[in-house]
Amino acid sequence: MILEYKSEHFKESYRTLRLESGFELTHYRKPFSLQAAFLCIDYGSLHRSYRRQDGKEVVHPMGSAHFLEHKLFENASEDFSQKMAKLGVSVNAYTGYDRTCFYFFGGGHFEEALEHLLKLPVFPGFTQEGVEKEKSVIAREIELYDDDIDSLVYRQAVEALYPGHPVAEEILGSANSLLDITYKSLLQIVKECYTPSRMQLLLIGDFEENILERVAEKLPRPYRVKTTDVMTSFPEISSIASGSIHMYKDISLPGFSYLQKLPLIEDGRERTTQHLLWEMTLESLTGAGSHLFTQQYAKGHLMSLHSYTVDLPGASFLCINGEGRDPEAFFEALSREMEKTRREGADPVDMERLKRRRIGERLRAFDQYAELSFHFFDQRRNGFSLFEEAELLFDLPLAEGRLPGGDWVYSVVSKECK
Amino acid sequence: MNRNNSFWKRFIEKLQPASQTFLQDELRKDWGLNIYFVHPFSSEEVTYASMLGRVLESSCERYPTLLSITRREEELYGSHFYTNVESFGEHLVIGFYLRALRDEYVSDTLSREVVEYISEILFSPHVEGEGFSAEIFEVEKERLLDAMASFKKDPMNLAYAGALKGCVEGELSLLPMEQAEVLEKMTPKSLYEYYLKLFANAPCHLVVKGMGNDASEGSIPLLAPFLPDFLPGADPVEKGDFAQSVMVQMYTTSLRAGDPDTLPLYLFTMLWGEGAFSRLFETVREEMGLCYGISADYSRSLSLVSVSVAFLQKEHTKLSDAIRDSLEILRKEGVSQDAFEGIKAEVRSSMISRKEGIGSEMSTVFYRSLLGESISIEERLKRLDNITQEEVLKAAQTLVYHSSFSILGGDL
Repeated sequence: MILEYKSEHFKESYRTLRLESGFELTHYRKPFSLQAAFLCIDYGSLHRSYRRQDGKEVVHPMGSAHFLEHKLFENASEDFSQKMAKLGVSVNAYTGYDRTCFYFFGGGHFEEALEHLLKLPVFPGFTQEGVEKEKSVIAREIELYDDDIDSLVYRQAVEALYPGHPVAEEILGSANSLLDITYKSLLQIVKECYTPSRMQLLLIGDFEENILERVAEKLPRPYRVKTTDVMTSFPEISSIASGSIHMYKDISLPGFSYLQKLPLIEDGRERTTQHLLWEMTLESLTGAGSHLFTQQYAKGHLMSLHSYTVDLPGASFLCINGEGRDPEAFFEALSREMEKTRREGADPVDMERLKRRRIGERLRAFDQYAELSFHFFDQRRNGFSLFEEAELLFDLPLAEGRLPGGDWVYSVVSKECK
Repeated sequence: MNRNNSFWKRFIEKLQPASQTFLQDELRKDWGLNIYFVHPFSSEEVTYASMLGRVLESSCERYPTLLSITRREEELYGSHFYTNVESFGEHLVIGFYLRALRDEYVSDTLSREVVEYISEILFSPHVEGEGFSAEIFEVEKERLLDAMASFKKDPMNLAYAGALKGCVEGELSLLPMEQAEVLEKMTPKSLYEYYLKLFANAPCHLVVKGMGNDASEGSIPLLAPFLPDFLPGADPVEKGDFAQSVMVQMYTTSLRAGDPDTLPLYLFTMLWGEGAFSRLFETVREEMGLCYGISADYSRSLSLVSVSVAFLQKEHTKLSDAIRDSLEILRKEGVSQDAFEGIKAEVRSSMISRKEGIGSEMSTVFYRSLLGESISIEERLKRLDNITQEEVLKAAQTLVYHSSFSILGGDL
């Protein structure tokens, strides 16, 4: 089945081909010489526990999704990145909470490179020896994050906010969990979770109109065969006692992270609209154009501040991360402003201005392939087209910009926290 | 936009650029404008220029606070003004940048409003008496000092700064984030005097992409070939309170920026430690498992190749030797023709990607012009295609191990 999507407003278009197996291929038309392919699998760190069709519960070690992403690049006969580079494309991958994505950019022998990319996740070529060797490499990668303050404060906060929930676990796993990952367990994930209906291919660039049909004809068999999907369920979110937590580290400038749970919303449109409103309300409160930020910055309490909301299957929260000299003073001011916004809602004038900024960002994202792919895969979960999602921005009920209450954690890392 | 627009004319009259380069692009949704000043390097000016950038980004006469200036950018659909200071060989490049959406997507008057906005920022700063606003100045000074302190807490920054100091003589070895002493002595008045001098006397160069099809005017100056004075080599090792250990090794080359052999040397650096064919990645990380991240970087402007690596403390000596050995083996044996063609394909793809972007193409055109390499992408791709492995290995013979700087952290 072919679906066409076009926006006169944004001067953008794409078409999607959905196979009976559930695998989806999309061609996003861009008139640039650069081309790109993104192969996304709905398997991320959140999915390490699942129930099979036969009712058996499977639990993989923490860090398995990311470990598998690394190992799929391994092939005894030839280095995958090199093979792709010879075809004039540059390949990479990432693992998130809810997905693993393999992608490449380039304009060389695109279709040949695409054939290799499509084989990568369904015909794994890694070895038992390679799996064992990878453990020390990923252990080093984990250590790199131990010197990263942003990562430390966020991790400390999310662990406290979601005890026992997979969102609180490190995507990379831990030094101990890596030891439990085996060659066999990784192959099991490929077999049970890398199934056609959980995979999508997004091609961006100036291709012939029948590119999707051509690619579909040559697809490896695993993409064409309908299989039964495993079921992922998430633990009930337990309520916690809100509060602050501190960690000592010898750093020049303290880092901090405020996380607060948000309500889970079932309907995709309502969820997207609500998250846009929450993010803009949060920006009106903490963005570079807010009184809170500029006052705290001028006083020296803050050097930088970023806020956003996270919308995942089974978890939804807002995040305010930053660094500055006085995290306590900032927290006091933040609490006051949050309370005021909960009571009175955001200033409509601020929201109108922020809407313009968001529209600008969203339009620019249409030209940035990586950004475009993030939006594309995000909106799939919401069940409507990429353009419908962008259009939502123009009709947002700005007067409803209000932050709900919820469990929260304020995490600080500094050398004053001894 | 074209030169007949009154707002554009007014902007050019005020800026008086020595050259104007227009790059055509009708396909993207945004456009960009870069203004560059090129001055001889001095650590004092690096700090003055960095501070000027922060003060201009934070206020001007019409939008006198960070709040009002940020809100103005939000109203302009997230148009963004920002600045950057970079050392480039024995020179310093001070850049002022603007990015905005094209009119047809949001508003017929956006480009006019955006050009007027950057004019306000650059030509009508927030002045009180004989200097910049003292309040804005003090806030930005404190935040820059914070940023400098933060820089020094990153082990890789420290290792790179240490390695550079052990390699290049004089001020050129100082990074912009290391000049706290100059900042301490700066005043709103002295900074304003620097601003007046910069905009009144120094020639600047304008590069625009994605707005109008005007013919370019004037030319970007060609910088004289430069080779820094290198210090005698040394390999200091320090202890650090970090989870990881890091090391930066420095290799010098006798090739000056602009030398035709720099492209072959760049290809060699890619083969050695960057991209899909990285020998260092293959041997030191994959085969020997000595580290997580390792990469090589070629700085043409300083005639240096640096290798940066994060590792476990106990592997220090083994790692240091393994990196140097891999250079020798690669230089001696080269790579398969297949791999060689592969790296060229990779570089070709990255050249094409750079041309697609707004900022990346403007910056490539400008810096290439400074090096006398203002040739079209087609010619550059042709040059790349014609390079042989013999040329690459010959260029690699100019590399000499110079020194290293290590910070040992984590547990043994």
